[in-house]
Amino acid sequence: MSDLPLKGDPGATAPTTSALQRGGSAVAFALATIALFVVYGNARESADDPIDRQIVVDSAEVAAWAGENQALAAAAPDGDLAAAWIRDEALYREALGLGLHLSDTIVRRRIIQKMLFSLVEGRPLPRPTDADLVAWIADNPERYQEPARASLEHVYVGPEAEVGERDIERVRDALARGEDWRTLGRDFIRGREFSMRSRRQMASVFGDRFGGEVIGLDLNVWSGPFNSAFGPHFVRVTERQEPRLGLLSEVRRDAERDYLDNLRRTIATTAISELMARYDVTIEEAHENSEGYDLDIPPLPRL
Amino acid sequence: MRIYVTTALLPAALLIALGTLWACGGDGAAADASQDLIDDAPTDTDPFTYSEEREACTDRNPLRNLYWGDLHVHTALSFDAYVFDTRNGPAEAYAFARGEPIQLSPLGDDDVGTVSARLDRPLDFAAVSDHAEFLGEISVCTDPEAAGYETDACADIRAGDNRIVSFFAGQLTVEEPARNVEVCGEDGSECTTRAASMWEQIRQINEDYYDRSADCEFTTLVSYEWSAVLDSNNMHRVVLFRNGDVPDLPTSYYDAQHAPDLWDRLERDCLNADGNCDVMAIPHNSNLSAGNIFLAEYPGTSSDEEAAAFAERRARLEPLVEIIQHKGDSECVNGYTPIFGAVDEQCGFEKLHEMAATNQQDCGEFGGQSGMSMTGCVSGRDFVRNALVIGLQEEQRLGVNPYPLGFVGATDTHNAVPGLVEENDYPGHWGSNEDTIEVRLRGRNGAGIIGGRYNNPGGLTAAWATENSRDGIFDAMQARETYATSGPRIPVRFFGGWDFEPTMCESADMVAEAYQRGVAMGGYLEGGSSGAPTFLVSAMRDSGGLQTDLQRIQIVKGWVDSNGEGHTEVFDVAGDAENGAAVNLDTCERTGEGFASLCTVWSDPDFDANQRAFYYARVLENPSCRWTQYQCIALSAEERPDGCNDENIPATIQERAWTSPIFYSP
Repeated sequence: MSDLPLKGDPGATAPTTSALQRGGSAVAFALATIALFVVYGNARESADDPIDRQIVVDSAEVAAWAGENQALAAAAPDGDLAAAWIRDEALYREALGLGLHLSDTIVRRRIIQKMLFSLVEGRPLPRPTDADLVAWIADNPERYQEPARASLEHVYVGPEAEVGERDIERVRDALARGEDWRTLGRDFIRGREFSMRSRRQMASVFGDRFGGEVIGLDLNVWSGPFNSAFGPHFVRVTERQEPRLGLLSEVRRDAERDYLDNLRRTIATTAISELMARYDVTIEEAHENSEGYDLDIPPLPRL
Repeated sequence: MRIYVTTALLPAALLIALGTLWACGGDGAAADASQDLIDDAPTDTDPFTYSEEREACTDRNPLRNLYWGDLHVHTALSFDAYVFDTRNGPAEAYAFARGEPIQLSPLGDDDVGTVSARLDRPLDFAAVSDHAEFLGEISVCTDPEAAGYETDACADIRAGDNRIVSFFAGQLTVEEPARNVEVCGEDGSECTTRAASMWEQIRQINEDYYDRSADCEFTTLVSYEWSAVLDSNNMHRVVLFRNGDVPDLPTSYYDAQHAPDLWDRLERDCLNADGNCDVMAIPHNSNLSAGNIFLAEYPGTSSDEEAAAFAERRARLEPLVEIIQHKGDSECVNGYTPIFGAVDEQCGFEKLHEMAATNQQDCGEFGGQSGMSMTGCVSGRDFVRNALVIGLQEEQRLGVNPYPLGFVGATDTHNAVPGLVEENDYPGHWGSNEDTIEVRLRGRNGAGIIGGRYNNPGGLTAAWATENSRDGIFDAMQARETYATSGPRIPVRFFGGWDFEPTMCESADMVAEAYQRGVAMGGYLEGGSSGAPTFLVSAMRDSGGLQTDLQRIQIVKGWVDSNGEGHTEVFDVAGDAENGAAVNLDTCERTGEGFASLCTVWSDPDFDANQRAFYYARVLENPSCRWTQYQCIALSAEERPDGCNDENIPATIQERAWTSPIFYSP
């Protein structure tokens, strides 16, 4: 297809010749000489003939068609692309004239899909400003909630099966005496200090209940023992952040993504609503959804 | 990667080392001498430079935090996922990994999935690794505006026709793969152009879901899969990048048909390019390579020096191997050439060939064909334990180990659900081939491809990283400070040193001491004192999910003797294999006690300082039901399909973790 003229190619005339040397039909000759188009037929068969009987062959259009329909183009008799295109065009017009497209499920599905695309795609979405994002976050607080977090230090007394009351007392006394907590108990392979972890993150380290029990402890005092999935621990919370709405700087990326996603949906939904407003809908039989149609569009294709 | 002196020079090197010890005199001095060869314990003041612009993480911990991830994930952008009704893309996959719900097939009328899934525990990191091949084709076939949208091939893709998968997959098995001209145009440019645009979008999604704030809650790694199936053998690699500085296009099988060609591309387009690009490739499903993926051959080389350079490059670009995923376990196997050790009953775990009762002919000394279709042969070389031994043998011969491999685990989900590994709630990983209980238990799809009951939910990667940033995770991967599990989040530390005391497990600063006096998993034990090396291994049961107790810890040793013969041995080092734990097969209820945690210091009783060796730990849980058993007992006896009576499918499994090895060279 590299030697076919492309749309808008100023040198279209010359390459056309070479393309047509392969075909060599009358049509090809006409194309080569007239270069841009040939007119076939004269007029509509009668005044109320719904079909436009004038086919204008645009060489660029034929080339584009051949590019998009390579199998058909390859099968064109004698390699005559224009003739194949003309045949298709005539069949297409006849089909339109007969209204065949109106009752075809595949055509229906396809053009609905195209319509949906055209309502959304091709519109450059404005990048949200900070004010837009702040408003969006305020309108959707549940999505951008920062959970309660705490920083904690802990002393792991040891595996439940291996340690007893005496070991617990020894750690408790040592902490009360102010001994260096890092030297007490056993090491915990996932660490002894955790910085600003949420309850869920603590659960992934210590097991389900532990985080809930320790996240609200008084600051900077040792409490316990608390049992994790692995045995008893003494815990000191050194910093805590109550649950709050995320700051723009913390949630900007998520907020921007959700904002644009929502904008795309809103544009499509609004456009569909506007379309729908132009229709009178009569429902002949009782319909389950008597409240009216849900205008929610199906989820748009997302990469 | 280290290059060692050749065998011929070794005695001299040893003499020098021993001479140093004698000169110092006494045992205490020996300890000091080995101390000099070991890094100090990491401290807060270690400088950390990011290869990208981001906020510093608040969770930074020089003694390493444990993070969970999935490094092998397919979405609707993979041809063998879209065709089977997977409609979720990379964005949905990352949202899922972060804890958001997802809708899986069967699809409803609106083309949206009807089955909900959600992780009860989000992941810390993930990599969406769609097939680099056919990204453009999927784009054409799903975009109504595309010229090729109406072609038969595209219609087949949208209709879920197996034949089109066969066409695509078939191209990945031949030396000169072809594009589908109808879809891509005669010169293929339509698909290449679109692949570039898809890759651009994939990179953007990786950016969108990466947490660059100081919270460091979730890390995405830009990734793709290079999907060579030359001679129908699985040679796949997941290619992973350190940061967002990546080539304009992924390298696909159309660009590179052999692994060295892939490495050429990775060097040209990434490692040797301007900027901060860094990359590694991770082989997977070696179990389906018919003896080819770890064949000790160095194509294109004509001398030992060139072979050593080849081996060095491979070891540098491929420091890790994925040893568990939904298409089976690749750790070890019994009874296939080469045999290096006694039968290990725990090697029976998730053995795809045995369960599917496919051709199990031994490949022998050579590489075979049709490994991926499982109609060819099976090789002992396909299993990582043996590959590690072969690596030591090659190191003895060439001076360089081509396979000093650390471990990762993954799902290889084709449903865009990273980390969905629970046995008791498994909705399948392969779209319409596994999306109802009936097809899941069937075992083969319409085209006869193995799946369903022979597959499993796959595993996870654990990374001991200083922080959850891309650099933090990638550093841990390059250092092999990662390990694999068959699904449960079993925390396990593994260190090697020359003088760990038996009481170390009770120490309040065990981990800091171990770093100070030894090396962590993935490291090289160096120096060597007069005694045997000691290994500290400490594991805890998963604190979430099914919370199955631990049964025992094993240490797997591999070594090469002075004749170049390879050996392996498995040692039980903690816990109790006979703890009486069992499973009620009618209810899947687990009975009997195990251990909430296990810790021990073990010393190799047969250590020979002249022999190259590796050691890795395998942590076993008590038995629990395999996913198939959960689903079979959920059906009444009459409803159960034949798959429930398949004697090759075990009712129970022992879930496990495998640490990366610690290596020793004289």
